[in-house]
Amino acid sequence: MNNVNDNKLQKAVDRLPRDITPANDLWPGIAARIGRKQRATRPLWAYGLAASLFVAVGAGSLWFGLAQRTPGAGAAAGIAAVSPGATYFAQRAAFAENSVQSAPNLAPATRGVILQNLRIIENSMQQIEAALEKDPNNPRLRALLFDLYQNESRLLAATQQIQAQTNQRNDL
Amino acid sequence: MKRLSIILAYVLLSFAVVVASFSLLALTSSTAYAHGSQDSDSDYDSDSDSDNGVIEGGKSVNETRNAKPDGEVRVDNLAGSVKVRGWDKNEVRVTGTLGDLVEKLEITSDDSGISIRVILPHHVNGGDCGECADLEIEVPAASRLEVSTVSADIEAKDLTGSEQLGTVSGSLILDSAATRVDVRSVSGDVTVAGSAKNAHVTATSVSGTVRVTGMDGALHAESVSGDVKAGNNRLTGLEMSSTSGNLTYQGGVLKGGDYEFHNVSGDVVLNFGASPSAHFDVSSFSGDIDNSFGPRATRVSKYSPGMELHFTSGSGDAMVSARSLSGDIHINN
Repeated sequence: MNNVNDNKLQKAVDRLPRDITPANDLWPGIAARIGRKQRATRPLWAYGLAASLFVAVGAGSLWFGLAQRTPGAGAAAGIAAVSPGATYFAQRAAFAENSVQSAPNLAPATRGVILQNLRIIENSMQQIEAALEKDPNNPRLRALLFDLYQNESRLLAATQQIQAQTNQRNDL
Repeated sequence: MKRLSIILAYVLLSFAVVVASFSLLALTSSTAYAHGSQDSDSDYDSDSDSDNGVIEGGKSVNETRNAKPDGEVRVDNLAGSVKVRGWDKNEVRVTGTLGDLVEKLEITSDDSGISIRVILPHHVNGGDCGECADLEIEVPAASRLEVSTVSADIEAKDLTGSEQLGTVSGSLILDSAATRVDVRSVSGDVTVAGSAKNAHVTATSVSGTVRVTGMDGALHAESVSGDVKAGNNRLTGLEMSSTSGNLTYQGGVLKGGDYEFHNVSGDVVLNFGASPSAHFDVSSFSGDIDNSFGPRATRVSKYSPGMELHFTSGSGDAMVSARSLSGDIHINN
């Protein structure tokens, strides 16, 4: 029974044309429909997001550019001169210091303490980076460096928290 | 053309938001409290010298409010001192003195709890005020306490609810029976003594010294340039770290415990009192490692002068790891 059906199926398959040439005018229509679909699925907010990202990146670049001229950037530039691979750290240090320098509501003593300790962290990062140049596969050095990144972010977060609390008091 | 207009509008709108945000930041430049005028909630009975929960500056304070046994108590005082004590009454009582420069003390209530705020005039900041307000506050022992100060010292004791205390330059002393403790300072010293079982304690400072004694549970203690000291605790989990301060640990280890010590340029001193039952994983990139029991540290890398020490003491019931960049590590029994 199966052999009879198989033979019928084989004959039907053999009767099919070997190739099909589509009409030449099909593709423009397909392309147009695809194009319409793509345009239709792009939501309006995506433009806004893209524009916001553009503005944010621009503002960040501007802010960072200004940071390079602030007194806090001097120390970071000094770090860059010490180690040829330290440009990245110098830029990060400048950015971090500027965020503390520009916080408007910090008491001078508090600002001083935070900046002093921020520099301790940045200098320690530099030391570990120099050590990693000698021993690049040392996982413990990398772990220490990771700790310092966390310390730095916590310090900056604490700065922002103090700032936010002061703003909250002002808003009352 | 229409899409271009939409994009342009979004760019302009976003730019306006950014500019507005920066302007708002620039405008908020005073460190003093603004004037507040929130009335106390009538759902909370009061026994007070004031009719509306507001006490003017330059006076002594004696205010009492009914409170939930486990409600929130929030205290905000820039300068002076805040002393909080847990008691067995469902009341919050505030006593103390307000300096002449204080505009008012405001006590407000809502469904979540009670807020106590010392308010200064706009032209006065915490530094000008000196001893702005010295407050002694009794709260239900199970209250969830939040205290925030700038230069005011904070003391708290006899509390079993969660505690979240923060100061910028004041000192912070906590004698806690709470299982959840989070205490932080920038330049002030932090001292925590705990008694609750299975407590989770976070104690941090930027440049102050952090001390934790007598607690049971898990501890995270850190400072950037200050020393960190932990002693006489029963800890199943410990993470102590500093960047340039010294770390000192005094005490034993528990079965299954995990103890981590991280430092960069400060020293790490571990005094176990007796030979602990633990695996040790110790390394320093350029510092020394001294071990008063077990094997000596060895140099394992041809690239650095650093030392490493890996060994098991006793049956290895706990895990001790310590690492530093240039600080020395001392392990003593």
